[in-house]
Amino acid sequence: MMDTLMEVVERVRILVVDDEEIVRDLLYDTLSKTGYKVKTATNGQDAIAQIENEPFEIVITDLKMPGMGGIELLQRVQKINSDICVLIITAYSTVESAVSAMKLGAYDYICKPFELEEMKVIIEKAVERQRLLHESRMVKHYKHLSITDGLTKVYNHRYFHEFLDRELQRARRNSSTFTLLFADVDNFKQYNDVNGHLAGDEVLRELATIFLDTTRKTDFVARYGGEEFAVLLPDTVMGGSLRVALHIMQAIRTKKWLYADALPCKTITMSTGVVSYPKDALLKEELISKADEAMYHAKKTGKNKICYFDMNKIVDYKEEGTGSINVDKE
Amino acid sequence: MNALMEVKKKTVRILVVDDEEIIREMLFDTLSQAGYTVKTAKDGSDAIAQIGNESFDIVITDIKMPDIGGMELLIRVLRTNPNVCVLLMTAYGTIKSAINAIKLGAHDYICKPFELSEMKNIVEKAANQKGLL
Repeated sequence: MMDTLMEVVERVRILVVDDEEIVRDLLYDTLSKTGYKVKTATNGQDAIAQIENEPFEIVITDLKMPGMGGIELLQRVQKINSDICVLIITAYSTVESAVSAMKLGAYDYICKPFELEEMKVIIEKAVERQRLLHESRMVKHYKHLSITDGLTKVYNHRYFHEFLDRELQRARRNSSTFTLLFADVDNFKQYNDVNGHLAGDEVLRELATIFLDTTRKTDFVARYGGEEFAVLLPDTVMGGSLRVALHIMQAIRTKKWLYADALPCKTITMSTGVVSYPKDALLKEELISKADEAMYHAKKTGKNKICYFDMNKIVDYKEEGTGSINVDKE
Repeated sequence: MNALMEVKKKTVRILVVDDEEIIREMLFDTLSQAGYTVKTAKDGSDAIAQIGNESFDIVITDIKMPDIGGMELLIRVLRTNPNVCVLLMTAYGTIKSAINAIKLGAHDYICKPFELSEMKNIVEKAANQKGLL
């Protein structure tokens, strides 16, 4: 990602806008010799036409021109692409016009006559700013790609592990508690076989949205694998997590799903396993395997339910007073 | 001025910094009468001490002052709270210093002498832009 200065310079496109030919030519020659790709425009309208047609990183414009002046050009350029650095040059400078140009977002304001060397330094600084801007965007972009699941846009498996490591350390340090929830879509293969994988993908996307909507901002939702989601709930004890799990499962069951008639419950359901730190396990591997175990137990014993560890034994979560939560299961 | 605007203006806290007493007093009177909550500081150090003790929404400061000048005050104010709106005033306005001030984050740069009504307008506009009114 780090380019040499010359490579950066060669990629920078500069548009010089001035109604005076001599200024245009002077800047064109100087900046071209330095290695920049330079074009010129004789007035504001001409400049806008060129900027709309091809990308520029830097625009150097005179302030006073017949027709559209430098300030109007600055405002129009910012509407087209606010990343473009606009430098204003002028022979009629006043403090007021300098302040108003800078407040409108000009990168710099240079009085004529200027030294060409000074101009080169200002351009170098502008180029450096553009490079940093570009770089920080790329870093953000790649960081985003590396931690999110492409299909569902929740966090991915890799980042889930990183986050779990961090949460574990935090909980150890603060002697706090957290819970981990694994949920797997029931009969997903059957759904895919009947409706096709595209429909299946859509289900996963909508499930991710439900998970995000039904958990708190501080909870962490990831797609753990194929049709399996994981949720980490910091500073939460088992009772609270079970209520959250129930809330998620109810939201999923009651949603109107397309083509879910082929499924046993006529809707999408999930089997869920919940474990808590430090009650059920102290190590990361043990936490994950126990959450898995509870989830598989839910699958094996009828699906569409929540199972958790109670004194080292896996039990079903029952809603108070109503018996098992899978009452509406046919 | 309606009652709501009166209340809102009262919540806008302004610090006026100038080593010239007459300017401090003129601005204090004008802006207080306009309804703002105004305090004054006689130089940069005084201003920094006050800013450490209470928060201000708008700081209006002279540039040329003994010890800490307006430019340094601008930098120090924004370092502790980037939301503060800093207005610089100077009798020695140059294009270079004006450009520098805006690049450093000043909200405006006003040349002395100015009309008090003009300053009132600038403050009202700034308060509006910052969502204070």
